[in-house]
Amino acid sequence: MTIDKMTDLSNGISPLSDLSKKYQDSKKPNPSEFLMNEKLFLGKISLFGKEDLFFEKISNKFNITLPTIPNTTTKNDKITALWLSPKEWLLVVSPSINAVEVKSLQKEISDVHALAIDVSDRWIAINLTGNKAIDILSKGTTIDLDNSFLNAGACAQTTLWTVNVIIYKVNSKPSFDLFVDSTMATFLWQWLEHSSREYI
Amino acid sequence: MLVPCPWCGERDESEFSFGGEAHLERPNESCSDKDWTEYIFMRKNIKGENKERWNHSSGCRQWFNAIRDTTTNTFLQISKPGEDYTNIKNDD
Repeated sequence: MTIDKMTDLSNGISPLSDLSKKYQDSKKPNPSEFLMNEKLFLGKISLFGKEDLFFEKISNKFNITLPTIPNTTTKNDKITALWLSPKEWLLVVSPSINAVEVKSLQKEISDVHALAIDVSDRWIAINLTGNKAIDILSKGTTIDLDNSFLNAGACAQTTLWTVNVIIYKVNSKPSFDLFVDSTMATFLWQWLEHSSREYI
Repeated sequence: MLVPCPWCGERDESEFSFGGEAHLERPNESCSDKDWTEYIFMRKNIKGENKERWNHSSGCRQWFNAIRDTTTNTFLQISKPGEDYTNIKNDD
């Protein structure tokens, strides 16, 4: 493979880097109505398991209790655990997690029927804030964000304008984190820009 | 149409995949061609209360069973795999 000498791949390049830079440089007359930002360098771990010992090991390792109520999250100062299915969670680690820590987790749970996969580069995280965030999301999803997404910490997997996403309500301002597959991130970003145009 | 997922609650139909008739028992290996054909191809296609499998493919990706009235598209009962059916609360 030929790599351009000017390209420093060690820092990683997000598929959204060009679009988000252009967006940040653009004028936004009503930032309180809608703003979006890519959240860079978050660590993400896909976690599978169901035994009591698995829950105990995760709790001991990260000091977090995995949520067992559907579409809810738990968090501590560094990690947010999103419920994805009865045996599956997404751990979002801020600011990031390195390969050694992931290996150590994998070793920790190797004696139970469980799995931990580093998916940091698979998911792109986009933060949406502003009074119109719900209106804009509602253009592309069938989830009732006003009523079924009342509490901060709610999360759901759904489709947003045909793209599979995880929506996480960070707080009631409102502020949402969208997790989207990296291959679909530019499409979704452009859709969000287009859909928010009438409000900004 | 809203489909009641036993985990996520009511979600739009577009998030789900229909899995066909539920509780079909696979016949023994030594079964006749007729029994095998029945198992593979023949479906009851009931007008009324139909036991079906659904998958919440764009959500929690779990399979579940449901009883749906095919004349009204109303879901009457749902069950997680291996569990009994429970009634769906209907506010109407």
